[in-house]
Amino acid sequence: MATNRSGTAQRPNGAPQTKVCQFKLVLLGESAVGKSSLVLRFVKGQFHEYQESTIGAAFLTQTVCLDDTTVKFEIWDTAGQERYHSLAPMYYRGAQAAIVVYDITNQDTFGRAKNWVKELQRQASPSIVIALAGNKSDLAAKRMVEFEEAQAYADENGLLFMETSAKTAMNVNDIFLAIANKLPKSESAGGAAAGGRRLADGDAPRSSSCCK
Amino acid sequence: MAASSEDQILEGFLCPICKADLKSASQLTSHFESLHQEEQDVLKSLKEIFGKAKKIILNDDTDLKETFDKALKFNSQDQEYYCEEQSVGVSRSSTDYFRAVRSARLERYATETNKLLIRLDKLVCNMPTDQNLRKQHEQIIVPWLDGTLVKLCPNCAKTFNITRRKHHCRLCGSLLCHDCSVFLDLNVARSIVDPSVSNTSTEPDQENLEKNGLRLCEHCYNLIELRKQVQESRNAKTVLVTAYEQMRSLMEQARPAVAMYEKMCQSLFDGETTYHLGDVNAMRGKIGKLAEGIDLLSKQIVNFSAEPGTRQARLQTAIRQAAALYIKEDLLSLRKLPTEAQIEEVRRQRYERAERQIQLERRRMEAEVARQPPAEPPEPPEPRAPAAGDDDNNPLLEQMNIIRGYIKEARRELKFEEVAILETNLKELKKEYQLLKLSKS
Ligand SMILES: Nc1nc2c(ncn2[C@@H]2O[C@H](COP(=O)(O)OP(=O)(O)OP(=O)(O)O)[C@@H](O)[C@H]2O)c(=O)[nH]1
Ligand SMILES: [Mg+2]
Ligand SMILES: [Zn+2]
Ligand SMILES: [Zn+2]
Ligand SMILES: [Zn+2]
Repeated sequence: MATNRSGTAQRPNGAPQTKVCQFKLVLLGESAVGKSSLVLRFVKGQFHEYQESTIGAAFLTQTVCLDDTTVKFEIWDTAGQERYHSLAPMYYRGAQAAIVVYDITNQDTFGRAKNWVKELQRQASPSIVIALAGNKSDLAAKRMVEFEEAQAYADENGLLFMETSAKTAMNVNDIFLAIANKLPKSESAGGAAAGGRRLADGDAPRSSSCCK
Repeated sequence: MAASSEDQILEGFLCPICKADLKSASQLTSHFESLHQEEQDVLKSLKEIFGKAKKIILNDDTDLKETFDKALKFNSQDQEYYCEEQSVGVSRSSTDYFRAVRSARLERYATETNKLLIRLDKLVCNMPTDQNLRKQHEQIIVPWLDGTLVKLCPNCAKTFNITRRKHHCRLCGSLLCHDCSVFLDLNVARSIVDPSVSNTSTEPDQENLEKNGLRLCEHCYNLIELRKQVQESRNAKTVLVTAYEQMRSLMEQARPAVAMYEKMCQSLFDGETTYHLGDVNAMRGKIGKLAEGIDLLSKQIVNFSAEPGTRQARLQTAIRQAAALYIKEDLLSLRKLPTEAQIEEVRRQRYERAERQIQLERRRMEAEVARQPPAEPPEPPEPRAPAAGDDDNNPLLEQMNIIRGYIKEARRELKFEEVAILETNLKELKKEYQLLKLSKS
């Protein structure tokens, strides 16, 4: 455990400094593909058979430690139901990473995922790192989307790709790690324009308070 | 690898900048627009998308907002209050106390009501019509209180005298004056004790009611009336169920309509003349109407107030989703109609093909005839064939016109199955008529 509270880790106290970077990550995809389940598995190590459908969006954070950097994810888990579609841009704009999720047992959700990728490529930040997750891989017996098909699509579009299972935890941490590795963490890229915010003292990410 | 995480999960219509929960999509949008103006580019793209999705938002989210506000007893004025942090003090659960009080009350009502119901049942079954016998019957079941010493009506405290006589409640036997009596119609009483006999008789006038109905005290009447209401509400279909059944029935109608539409459409593409473009358009309109109806009803269902997160709320949402999907996939994905010009073209091609076929046939016939000259003189014209002059009242023509009338009618009523049959019929008649003419000439 490298940090107790994000931001304090880089107090200049002579100890070897760890960079702390904060990234905004958004999850997109059809309803019921398992976005919330993936996040819950990643953040809390839990899985609920009866996960409630998300309303609006959910916000969670999780920190991962790479060799020389600590990456803090601010995760926005959007609601997949169609009627919330129009809210999505608010959440993916300014995001440095996105996970587009589909359900390998449902061909339609794969089509929907492709549309999300297209929308991100058009509207989101040009440097956004996009990962494609074929979730529910534990249900391979009912598979409708071929691994090769999705892999080929991901290759064409320069996406990270993994088949995951929130239920068995397969590849869940891995996909977040892969994203963390791919994100630009150099000093120069640390600016708001290209990468995550480099945290300085006193810049602890407490929520700004426009409503209070 | 994974390290510290903050424990709380926020969920709702969260502002991506300040993480305030705005309770509805529209409030979130306006909050975002008014307080986070600095993110101009974000806003611009957002506006674009909102323009496109305005309709969805307006339709769906106002409902959603209402449900939310209602459920959370919230409105925008309370917003500030909500944002203030408030710590919970000492708390104690009063649920058990509440339960105890409630069950005691329920018990009292239930036993009392049941007692009255049993009496009511005995009273109305085998009730003699003769007034004196009836009085006896009533008193055997519920003994009347001896009122000789009672001077005042226990209910209104007015003195009993010659004009204010003593009466008895038929269910509890207590004393009361006429003014304090309530009357229960016997038919209503029967339907209460036996719900299988529905009370269909018309309501009696006051005079009849007082003459034939059961005289009750207010207390007994209220308990019985309450029971009746519970019974009725249990049997009554809720608005929700009614809306659902109506929606199902529309779906039931839509299925054959779509099948018919597909058939008609195919027929047009095949160049057949059975249906007109107008017919198929009318059918499309009919399906559109059905879709509209289904949409409306399913919206009513989803808007029906239910605590968010409960099974009912989920079920309502699921119904709406299924309906929307059904409309989108089955009703609005109808095949596009060909244009007049396309139809013309297909028909022309078909006609030409037929024409060529006929030419070919004719030439072959001629060749045949030429090869074997007739052995016998040509037959005289058939005696029953009509003469060329009276073509107008040819029964075949007449029949054809009648059928044309039928077709018009069926078309007006959108009965396209019938149109198809009649059109075939008409075609056969035409063919026969042509043969007839050929044989004449
Ligand atoms: N077998 C299996 N089931 C899963 C997996 N991930 C999620 N589920 C189930 O799929 C259902 C939907 O999961 P959610 O996480 O709520 O889906 P979501 O994408 O967040 O849905 P919305 O919030 O409506 O957008 C739940 O019943 C989960 O238990 C998985 O990897 N394997
Ligand atoms: Mg969710
Ligand atoms: Zn805000
Ligand atoms: Zn009285
Ligand atoms: Zn009484």
